[in-house]
Amino acid sequence: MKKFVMIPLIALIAALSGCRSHAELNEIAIVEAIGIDRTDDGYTVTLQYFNTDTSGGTTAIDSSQPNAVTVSGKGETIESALEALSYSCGKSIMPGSAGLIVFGRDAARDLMDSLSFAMAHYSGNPRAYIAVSETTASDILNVKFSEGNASVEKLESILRNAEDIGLSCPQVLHQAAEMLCAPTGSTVLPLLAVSENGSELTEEGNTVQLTGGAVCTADGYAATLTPEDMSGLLMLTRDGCKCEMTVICRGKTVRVMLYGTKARITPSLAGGKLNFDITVSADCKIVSSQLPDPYEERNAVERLAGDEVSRRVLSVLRKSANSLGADVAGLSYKIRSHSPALWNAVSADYRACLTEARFNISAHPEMERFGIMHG
Amino acid sequence: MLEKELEKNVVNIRAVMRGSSDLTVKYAKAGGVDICVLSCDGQIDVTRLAELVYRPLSEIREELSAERLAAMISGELLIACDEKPVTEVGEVIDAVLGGFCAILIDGCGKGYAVGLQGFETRSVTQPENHRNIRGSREGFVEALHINMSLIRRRVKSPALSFRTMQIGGVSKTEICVCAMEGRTDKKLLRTVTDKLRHLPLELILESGFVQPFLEKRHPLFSEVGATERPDTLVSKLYEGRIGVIIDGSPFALYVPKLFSENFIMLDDYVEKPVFAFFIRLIRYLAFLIAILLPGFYAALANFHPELIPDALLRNLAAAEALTPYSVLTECVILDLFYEIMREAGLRLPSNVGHAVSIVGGIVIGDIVVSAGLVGAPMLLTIAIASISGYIVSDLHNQISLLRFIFIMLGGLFGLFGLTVGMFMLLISVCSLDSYGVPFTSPLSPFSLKGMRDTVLRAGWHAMSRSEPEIYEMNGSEVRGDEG
Amino acid sequence: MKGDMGYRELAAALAVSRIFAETAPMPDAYRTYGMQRFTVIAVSFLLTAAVYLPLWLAMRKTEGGLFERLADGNKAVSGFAGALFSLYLLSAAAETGLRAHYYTSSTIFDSAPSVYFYVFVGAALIFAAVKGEEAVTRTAVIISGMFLLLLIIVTVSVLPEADTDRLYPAFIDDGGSFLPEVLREFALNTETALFAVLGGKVREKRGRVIPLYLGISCAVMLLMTFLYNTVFGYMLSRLTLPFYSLSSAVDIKIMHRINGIDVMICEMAGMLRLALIVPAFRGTVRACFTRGKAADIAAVVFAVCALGLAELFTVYPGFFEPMKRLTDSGLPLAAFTAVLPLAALLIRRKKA
Repeated sequence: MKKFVMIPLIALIAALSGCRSHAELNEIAIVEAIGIDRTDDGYTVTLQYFNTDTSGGTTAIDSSQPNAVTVSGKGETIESALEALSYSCGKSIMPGSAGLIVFGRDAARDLMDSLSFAMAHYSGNPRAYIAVSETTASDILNVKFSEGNASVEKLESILRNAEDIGLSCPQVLHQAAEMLCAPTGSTVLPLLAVSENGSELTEEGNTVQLTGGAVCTADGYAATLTPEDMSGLLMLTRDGCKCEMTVICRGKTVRVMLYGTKARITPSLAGGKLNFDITVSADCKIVSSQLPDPYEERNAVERLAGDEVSRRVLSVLRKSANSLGADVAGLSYKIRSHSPALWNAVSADYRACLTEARFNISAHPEMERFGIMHG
Repeated sequence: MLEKELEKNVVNIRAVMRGSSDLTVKYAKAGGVDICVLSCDGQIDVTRLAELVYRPLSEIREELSAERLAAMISGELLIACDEKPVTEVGEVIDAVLGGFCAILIDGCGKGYAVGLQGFETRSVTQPENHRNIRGSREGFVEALHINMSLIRRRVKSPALSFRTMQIGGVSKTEICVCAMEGRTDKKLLRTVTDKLRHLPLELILESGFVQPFLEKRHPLFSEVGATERPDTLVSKLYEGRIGVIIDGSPFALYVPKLFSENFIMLDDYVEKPVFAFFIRLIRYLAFLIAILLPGFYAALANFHPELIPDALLRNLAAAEALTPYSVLTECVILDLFYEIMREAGLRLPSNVGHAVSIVGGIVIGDIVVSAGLVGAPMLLTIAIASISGYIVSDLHNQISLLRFIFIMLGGLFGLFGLTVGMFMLLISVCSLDSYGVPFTSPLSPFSLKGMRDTVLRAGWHAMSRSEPEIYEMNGSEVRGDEG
Repeated sequence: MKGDMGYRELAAALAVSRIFAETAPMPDAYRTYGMQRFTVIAVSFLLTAAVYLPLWLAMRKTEGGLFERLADGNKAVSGFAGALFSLYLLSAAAETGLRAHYYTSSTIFDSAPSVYFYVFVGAALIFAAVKGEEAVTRTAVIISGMFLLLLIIVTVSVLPEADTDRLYPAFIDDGGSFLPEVLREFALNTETALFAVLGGKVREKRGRVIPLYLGISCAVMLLMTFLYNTVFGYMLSRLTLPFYSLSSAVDIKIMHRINGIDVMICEMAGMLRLALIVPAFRGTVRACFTRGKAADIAAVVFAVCALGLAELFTVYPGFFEPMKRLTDSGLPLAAFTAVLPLAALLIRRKKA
């Protein structure tokens, strides 16, 4: 009896097997990076995808050879531009493998909607880096590095390393989306620019540099943050980060490294306005100095480094919160965790509250370790 | 019934044996009475026959009556330890064919069968399929009594009992049921013995003939274990299982057998527990790789390439770009080719088998890839899966079939197909009971106590503190009506 | 009628089935970021435990399930209750099919036609029904092991991104939505109703099944809520499949992300849930109506109807609304796990 049931069942399953269409690996454009630019009549999407035709089959990919193809297509929406690209390159586009999504300066508005093509699709890569170009995204993706599969690998490593040197926190898709879903709908993305400095890394002698950050709101690219601002933001949002800064002590340059930073933010309501008391603590050490005896001056260096940290933190908050009402430092979470009642009071018009918010910042780096030598 | 007249009995026996040429009939006189010694050529040891039967009988000088001679043979003469009276023609024939010699006496309606088995047997050698690093090098042979002695040598306790019986209407194969009193469930022993006694087979040439009658009709897995190693069987008996040794087969069977036992080797018990744990984990992993890896690869490459790491994806795409076939076709071709080569190499003489492996290695390993027929990553996938399959040698056939099924499911339907396939496989395996013990225990139903000798292997200090007991794994009673 | 199911296996099966409902939401379901969800889960499980008490009392001293006991007392009542319960199971099965289909077709199944999903799931379901509920519960132990492993990998991988600042000291964010949410979560504990039938086949210590189930499910769901809130923050409100999104963010190096594995395991959990509902229906029919082969045929018809309804609801979601409103109120579950056992107790007392 069971066999009589199983035979038609197996036959049916076999017959249905044709229902599932798929593309073979070599028919897929394995997208490495996506650049999105806005034009008057829609979007221009630049894709950098892996070119299988340039590689050998029996051995691993030779990463010293550039084998990425960069193509551009236009459409009213990002999806239609991708479709147009699919027709033009004769491959099925797989945006889910993209490791980097670059927005042109003009395209950095309504980011959440623009990112929905990557967020909503099941194959979307939540760990893709997102960055903004100072000019257009295609400028960035068309820089041809002479080494590596695709320029995306270089760009990814630039973004990744930025955090290590305290310049910027790399934003990946789901982190950026989280900020865009927050009450102010704004985010900070790393800012990339093409620099014509005669680099040997690329064929044309140009290269891509991380020049800071871009505050993006629903209206688009709103403000530029300098690398110092970005390090201030990093100290605000991420505990345990490190950053280097230069202070002038008695007319001499001293290079100080801060590490193990910790920011304590206490929100309050004073006179109907939001007030944030921000205390940044960190360990620090002198990396190099022109002072004859840095050990003697350690208290002064600590104070100067603290001032510099305060300046950086205040600068980023002024540029984002006060000027634009953009909560790029996750202050709303701080308010909620400190006092849900306070949040209820300000949440109705949180953006306006932020523009009027006051920030009292104090920073206390402590020099616990001096270095190998002193005196 | 045997006749009083010797000649009539011999004629009857010859008639039943259809005048078979291996029946040897030797007439003689002992104590003035006509006697006849019947034996089967090749089944008995002729030297012992001469020593133990011919000489004592020929040394009887006094004149005796037939009854007196019969009494002398049965009670006074020390001929052999295995000796029994026979009264039927059929009994005489069974005894003669079983390696006994039958002494028939003229004027007496019964005879005597004397055990003088002396056929040629293979000597005890290292097992072919269940090799180990440390431990005994002895494996079972075809002769039942040698196998019994191999077990008895390891357990010199009266608790170990052997019960022999004849099964198979034509072959009349001797089988032996072994169990350890006090450890084995009596109901289980009765169930197994009953099943063997009522075996409907006429001819039994191998333990594999008996195995299906001791297990459920599961298409893939068996709840009856088979081993070539006496030490393995002894350890199973010690855990309360029942062993069945079949004359003519170097494989002993035991019941019940659990799924997890496929991953346990004797070597695990001589290694440090931590190493045994590691190696068992590897075996479980190898099993999963062997059945799932090619199907998983086909599913990912066809339907879900986004799950593959970027660098690997680029390599795979580059390799696939050079091959004319789809991933699924490549996978099926390679898997079938591997199975063909394995089957070819399995039964060939070793000198030819060597040639097959060289041809296979060169053809598959080099030319197929360099000719661009199959991508190197696919070759690697199938190679890893097939090598992994060898690690769990007891499940090799199941692995081959499951691998093929999963390749088809993954290649045609992606991860969804694999999911349904895995679900059905799990349900199927979990539905099995091995004589009242869930086949998948102690993994499911989970038993922490059972785990100490499943994936983990507790040290001997810990294991020696408690008795091994398979039935404690789920606390269920043995159900006698299994099968 | 004593069966061969172990109490731990059934508890694991019920927990896996409940967690499936958490990982695979309904198409229109949404979750909001906030601490309220923790309270909702805790309160809904407490409510389930409270409602389970009459069931425990009713099943304590009898062998077999609740409906066997009812049938002992009064055939008419048991028949009526059995018919209603069957309808409830049908809606639960259809909902499970719908969830499983939605989850799969939004992810690994992508654009494949639904009929082909239902053929596969139907085949697995028939196979599971043939093998019996004992096999299903044992399978559940292995699937729960897989899920646990997945949860550990996901938790360990995303913990560095979990920002505990996103937790705040509040229990109820929105008083208006709190009660409906609690009731909705409570109503999802169909497993207690399944226990009313399947519990009769538990070998021993069946009183422990539901407490174990509640404990495991509650702990896992609280952990998942913790991860959702701390990793996604405000984005949680935009995510339809949060657990899938969580596993998308996990890179285990040998695989770029493990969301495919997540769907595989959750899909198996979904099939398991269906494979528990079908024998529960068969058990109900056997206890209340007929014991013969007719019960098996009814179970096959039930499975086909459930999958057919699931497909219907996929195509016309509006059809499901009235049924969903009723089940979401928690009334049917409360009726079957509290009112019916009390009735069973009363009937027995009167008879005595």
